[in-house]
Amino acid sequence: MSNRNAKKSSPGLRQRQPYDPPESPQSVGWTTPRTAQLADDARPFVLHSGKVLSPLVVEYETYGELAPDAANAILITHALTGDAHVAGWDRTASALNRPWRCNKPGWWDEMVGPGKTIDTKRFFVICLNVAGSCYGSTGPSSLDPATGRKYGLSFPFCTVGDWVRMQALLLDQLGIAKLYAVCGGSLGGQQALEWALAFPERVGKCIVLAAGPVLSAQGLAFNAVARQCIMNDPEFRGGDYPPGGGPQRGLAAARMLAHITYLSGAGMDSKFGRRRQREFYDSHTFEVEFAVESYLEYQGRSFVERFDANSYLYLTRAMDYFDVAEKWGDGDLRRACRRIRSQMLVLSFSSDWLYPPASAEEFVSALLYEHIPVSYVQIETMYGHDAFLVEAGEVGRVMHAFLHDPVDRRSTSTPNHDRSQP
Amino acid sequence: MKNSESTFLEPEAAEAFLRRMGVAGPDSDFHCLQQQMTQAMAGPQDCRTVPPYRWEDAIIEELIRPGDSVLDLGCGNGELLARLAAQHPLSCQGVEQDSQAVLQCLRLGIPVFQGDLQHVLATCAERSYSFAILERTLQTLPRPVETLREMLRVADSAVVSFPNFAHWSVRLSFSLGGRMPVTGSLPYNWYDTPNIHLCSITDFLDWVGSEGLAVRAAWVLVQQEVLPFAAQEHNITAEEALFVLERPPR
Repeated sequence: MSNRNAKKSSPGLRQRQPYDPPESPQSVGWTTPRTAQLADDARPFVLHSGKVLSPLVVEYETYGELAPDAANAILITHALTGDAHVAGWDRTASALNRPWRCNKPGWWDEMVGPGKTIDTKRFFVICLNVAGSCYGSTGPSSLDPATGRKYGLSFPFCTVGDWVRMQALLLDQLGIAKLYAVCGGSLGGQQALEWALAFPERVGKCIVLAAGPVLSAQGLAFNAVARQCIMNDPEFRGGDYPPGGGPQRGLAAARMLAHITYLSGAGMDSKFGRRRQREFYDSHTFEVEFAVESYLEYQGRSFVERFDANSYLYLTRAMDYFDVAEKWGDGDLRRACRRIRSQMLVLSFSSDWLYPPASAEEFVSALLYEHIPVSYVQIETMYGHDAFLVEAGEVGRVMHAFLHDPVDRRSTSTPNHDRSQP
Repeated sequence: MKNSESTFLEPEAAEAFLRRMGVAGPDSDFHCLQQQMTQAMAGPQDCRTVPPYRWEDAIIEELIRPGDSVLDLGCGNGELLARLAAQHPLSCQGVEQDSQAVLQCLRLGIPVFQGDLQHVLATCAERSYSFAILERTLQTLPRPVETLREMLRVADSAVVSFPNFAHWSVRLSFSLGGRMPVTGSLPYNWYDTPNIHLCSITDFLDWVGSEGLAVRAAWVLVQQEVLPFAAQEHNITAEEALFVLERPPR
């Protein structure tokens, strides 16, 4: 697209590494999404809300080879608007009408591939699209078997905990009893954290990027405004809009708002400043004039092409509800942390104001208080929340070091010092 | 020389070598082996198999028993903790500020918090650890006494080593040379030293006494020889000292 090329020359914008083409030895190459049926009427999936989801189908991708002992599996959990397409080039992009996948590889291609940080020569990598999303897994756009029409707002609410239990079901199907590692950023970080709490014995190493034990009031507020943008669009029609239509302006506005929370103030100043799009100054109109307006407008517009408004409502709600202390510790974060048996790596980013370092440190402090070994690194960056993807080099170095050491080589993770002794 | 080494370490060359050696098996295993080999050729030896380079480490290795838990404040590359963990089942936690050192800790499987040790101490519960270790760092801390008190709050024993500022070479360097001392244990110029709270063994013992603490054991380094701390004369002859402190039983 021409306007994308125009942006590349913007001063202050980090030059993206050129993509590894599918034939590159560094790329996982051409990929094909798969689907798995996790529940049906014979074995329905009971959600946290008590509602039942059936049938439940998820789209997932895998890279690399599962070792004979199935001990080399890494589960990647995606963020809010992510999908199962982590790495490589989607062979089915045109056939499945996903044109946004045609010109670029999966969302974490810099991190996942032969010889990369998550090395597909060594690891079997799995990622699945969460239920409620719109990339092949059961969600609000799926048909409700009870009515024969698409769910819309009658889709049952899924929580982070529900997603993790679904992921566990898929691992059961794939014959993976224990993960070498689980790894995710943002909403994906919440899922990684939930894994360490819900299935402590099934996770060797847990990597939590740009996430915390709970979303802050400020984060809840941003999500609330985003949902209002969508629901107040007249085209929303109570979630019952036709395919290809719907609250496009509302969804674009929600995305624009979200993008502000993904960057930092300093990052925006550096990337856009008060630069104008055109030569003239002060057009005395409300047309897009500043570079930052143009950027946000572009982000909003391109998002509408690839995301469903109802899904956005459901996924932000799941992000809101996630609360480690409430779910696992009766309101006490330290108590919740006592469940953890995995080797933990927590990464925060200095200028992230969606999940600020203080949020990650609250969790890390609870682990330290409970005398549970933890690794914590705060990365200096001006890329805000986005840094967990943008700072692939720095994040990759830390993750590579953490993944390098085999799990269970020795028993360093068992706290056995009796504190009750005087 | 350098060239031929790096050529040998090319993944393709390593793979060809392993294949020729008859190594077979699933590709993921094969790749692991290849990676290990490449790393073994490229990097320094695994610290778990080389002797400690700090004299204190050998003593600390004797102190730690299976089942202990160890908090290493300023753990550097994590070598001490890695060796301890290789010897016994134990629980360990490192704290380090330097990014490169943190990466090395992670590579060794040592859990490490990158940040300020005082912050970590404030976070830990009382008597979380059997040992809190502070090697050659005391004199660089902004509030050394506060840190020592915190160490004895979160751990049963505090292991502390520091350069002895009353060593004869320091005394001579200042009194006769008329310059800020630069010695083997204090290798810095006045303008670039991180050492802001230097003390002598006698100073340290004065403080220990005034705090009502018990010295469980103490060693000194005298002319490259490790001796049990015995007498006041060590305040002149010892270059460095290591103390194991405890709160006396109430």
